[in-house]
Amino acid sequence: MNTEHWLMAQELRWRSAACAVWIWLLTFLVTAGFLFTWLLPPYNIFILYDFFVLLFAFRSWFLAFCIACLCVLYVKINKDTYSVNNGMKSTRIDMLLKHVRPKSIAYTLSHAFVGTCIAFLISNFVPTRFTHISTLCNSLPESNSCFNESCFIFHLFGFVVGSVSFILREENRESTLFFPPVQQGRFLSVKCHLTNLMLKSASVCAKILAYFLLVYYLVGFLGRNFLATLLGFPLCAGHIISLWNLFDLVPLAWSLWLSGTFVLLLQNLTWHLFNVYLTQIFPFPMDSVFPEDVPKLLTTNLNNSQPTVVQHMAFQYLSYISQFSASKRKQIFMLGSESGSGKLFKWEVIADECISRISTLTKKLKDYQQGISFTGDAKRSSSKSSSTSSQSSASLNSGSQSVLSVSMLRRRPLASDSNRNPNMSYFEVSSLDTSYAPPSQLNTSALLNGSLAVPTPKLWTKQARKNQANVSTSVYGSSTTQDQDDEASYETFKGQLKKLGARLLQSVRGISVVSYFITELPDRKAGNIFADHQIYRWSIQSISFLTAASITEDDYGFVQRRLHEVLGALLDLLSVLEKNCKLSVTSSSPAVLSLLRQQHSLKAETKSAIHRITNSFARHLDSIAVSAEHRRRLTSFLEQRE
Amino acid sequence: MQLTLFPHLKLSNDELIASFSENSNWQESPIRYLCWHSHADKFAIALKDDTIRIHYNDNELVPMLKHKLQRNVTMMSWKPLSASTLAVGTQTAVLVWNIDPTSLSTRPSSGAVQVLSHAGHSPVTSIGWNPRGLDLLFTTSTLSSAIVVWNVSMKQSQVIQHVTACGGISRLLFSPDGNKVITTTPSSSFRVFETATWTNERWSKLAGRVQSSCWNPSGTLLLFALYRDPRIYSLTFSDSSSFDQPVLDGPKHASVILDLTPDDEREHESSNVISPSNIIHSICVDPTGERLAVMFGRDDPRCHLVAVYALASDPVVSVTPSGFIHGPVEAIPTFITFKPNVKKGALLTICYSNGHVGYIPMYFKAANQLNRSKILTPLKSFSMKDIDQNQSMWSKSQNNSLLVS
Repeated sequence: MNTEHWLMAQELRWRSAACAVWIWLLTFLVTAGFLFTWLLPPYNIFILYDFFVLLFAFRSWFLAFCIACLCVLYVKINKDTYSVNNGMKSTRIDMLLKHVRPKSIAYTLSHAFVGTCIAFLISNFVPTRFTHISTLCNSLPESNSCFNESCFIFHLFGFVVGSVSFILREENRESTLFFPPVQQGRFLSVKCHLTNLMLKSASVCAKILAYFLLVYYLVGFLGRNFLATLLGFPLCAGHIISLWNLFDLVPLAWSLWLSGTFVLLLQNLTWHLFNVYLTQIFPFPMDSVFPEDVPKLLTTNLNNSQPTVVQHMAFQYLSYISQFSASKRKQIFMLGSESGSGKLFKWEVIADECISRISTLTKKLKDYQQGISFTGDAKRSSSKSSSTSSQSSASLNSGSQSVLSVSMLRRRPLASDSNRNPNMSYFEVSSLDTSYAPPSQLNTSALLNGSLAVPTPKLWTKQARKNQANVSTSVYGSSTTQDQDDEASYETFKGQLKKLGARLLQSVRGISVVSYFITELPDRKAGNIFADHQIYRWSIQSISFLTAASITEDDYGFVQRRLHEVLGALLDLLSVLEKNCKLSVTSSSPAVLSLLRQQHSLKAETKSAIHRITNSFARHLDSIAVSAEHRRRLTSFLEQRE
Repeated sequence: MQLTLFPHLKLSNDELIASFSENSNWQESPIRYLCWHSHADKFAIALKDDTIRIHYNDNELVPMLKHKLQRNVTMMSWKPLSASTLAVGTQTAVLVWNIDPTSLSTRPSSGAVQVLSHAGHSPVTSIGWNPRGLDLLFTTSTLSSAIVVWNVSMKQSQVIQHVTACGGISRLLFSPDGNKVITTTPSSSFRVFETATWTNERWSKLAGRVQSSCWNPSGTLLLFALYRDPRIYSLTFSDSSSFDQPVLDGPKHASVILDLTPDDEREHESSNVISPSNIIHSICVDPTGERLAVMFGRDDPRCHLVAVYALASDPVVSVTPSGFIHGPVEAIPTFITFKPNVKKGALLTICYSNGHVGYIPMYFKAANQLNRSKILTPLKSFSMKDIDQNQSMWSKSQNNSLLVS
């Protein structure tokens, strides 16, 4: 049974409930503001009088109450759809499928339903041409009433705004929790952001309105005719949205824009409050004498196995206390409580978690950079494939001991060639790559006169080696049983099936339409590395603040024992980030660009973190055992040259 | 109505910047601002021609920063825990320069600058980096009530506070420990915020607007001077390091620690007379918290002097006169600042109206040297090299000067 994490079951549920209450109350104020604007048209000279009459009418309060209840529904949808991870779908097919999943469709329709309901409630505040679905008509002699197209358009626009805004939010990753750099109280936050939220709602609504009017002008009559037939109302002659009716179009557009902005403002406001509540710092306990409280401790919740939102909150709190709370830092540097596995040191757990997160990012970046260089090299080599392959085969066939440089060897496409053409030989040179392999793996005997000579036995292909192995087995293994033969034939069959599958996949991928949909987009792939950027940032901050504070607060010297590890992790991360920042990856999507920009932010954070430690420990760092490259960087940090 | 309440709204951009600048003669002085780096021996100097030059102690190279948006520099600030990032507040926006200290170029390219602009937030009259070294830059404008924080690398801005009914925010100053920040306004009130949750306390009903303010290094003492008031006031706060989060517990009333009323005026003065001209223009405390420098207003008869006092805050706040500093003949001090990270004593830097920069070294035994030795105790096992890198810079003469052309 999948039980919900205690933090999500208790704390986050309460926060959502509190958010629902506050947005319920706030909606009345926003509705009052909207009503004032709704009565604003220039021909209405009794605006204040009308406003106060409306304000004290029971009907208005009831309608506002209904709108407030719908906003609570927004909170519920937000709670179900929010995410913490900023990762994005990296292929076009995934991006499309994301919006047609049943869950996504259900939530889109929920938003559309709420939008339509709010439009309906708005239209009932004051009797206008949007209120009733039928209207008196003089153009039709046989009937008194006909289908009210204005009402249809008004409600349809509410539907469109609701659904489109949800899809846009999903596409732009706006339903991902944003942890602000400065924590604010809920009303202060609303006060400071209200203008921006209004402007954003108005601009998005204006864009949606423009497209809506265009689409309705072209195909709107289909929906209108369908609904009129369904409800049994005759249609008036003429269209509301037409080029001959521009004067009527302006007040209609104004009303639509106002109502759409109101719907979007309520959505955005609900999300903003929800975000403020959910990203508030949660004070995790540092220690407890009761064993049942262990799952609630900070050190437990930092773990990778916890839900992502819990990890985020735990790291957020860790970063906060490492900056502001000397007493909590003191607890981290103290001896831990007794447990089944002996003494637990909080510092050890925290350092392990932080360093592992930093190392994870470093590894991801290294892999990505290797992939980039490999792809780039493969592309270059494929463009020169004929000449290169002929040269290499010539050199192989010559039989003379050729001398090749490491860079030359690295530029050979390896896996791709072997898959496509199993008979073609390739160099087994991964162990010769000095930049990626430890020195112990380097074949030092191959280094001759400053250049790298590849010894002849290394030039055997995998295929050849396999064959060789088979031959040797057949020669020396004379006692082979029938079962082994069956197993071998089964394995061969399985291998052939796999190859066939891979070949099929390759050929399907070769079709340009398919490859267009299933190829990973490079910008999204690069951006996804920083999907957990908040945790990385907090890890870097926490470990550096704690290390810097340890010089005066760590009485037992725990931190000094791992200082080299901390510095090593940070320096490694800095060097790969510096390399990554030089790669030119661009994107047209603001969400992807925002993720890509995180690399610069993390680089600045890492530099500051190293400065924080070097400024605290200063020349004492000379005594720490680090590699020569790290020593060089540390020296430049100490000399303020970074 | 608002114009009557806040006369500064009627001023032109230049006049507005000049009236709230830390430079006593911002419009005419060849040097508009000077900012020392917090750890390296280098400073940035903003000149009247809207260029900024970086001077290093150990390098003859002087990079010059120039940008089309870099007009009317109001303030500069080096990013803490960074060797190369300098934020510049200007008339229209904030420019963040990244000057590679190892580069041999004297003209950093436009790729080395980031422009941060927030609608309705100009002129940027005050900027301040997060003192803990995070990538956050706080900015204020005398014409806006908003405190804006920038995530610089992400170019994202966030309004974190509105100090309303004050006509704007003239200055924002973090305490060195990063736990508190004072925001002064063009009206007769100011606020002190704590930086964890940004709650604030407000002091109002002052005799005038806050002209200048400064913190002691531990952030427990705030000194401020009012416009046209000859007195320096103090507010004492608790040390936030003993709490789980920064707290604000300032006293209700500020106390006067220094009265600079001239003797001849003192004779026929009642207790609460406001001078027709500004008396104290700028005050600053050195990084050890033991010296206080006071620069006088342009119309004060003592405007050619800088007064230095010995300051003690433990157990009670006390100020003892140390002396006056005379500048070159027919030159008046326009800007003063202390150099951070001085190993022995303090170094006061004075910019003069004729373009000279004077360094005034002050050798004294700091009371917190005892604390410093305590701090280093846990690392006794390491080899400690106490290299005074700064020594060579000003030990040659007592009053070195740099002429800015």
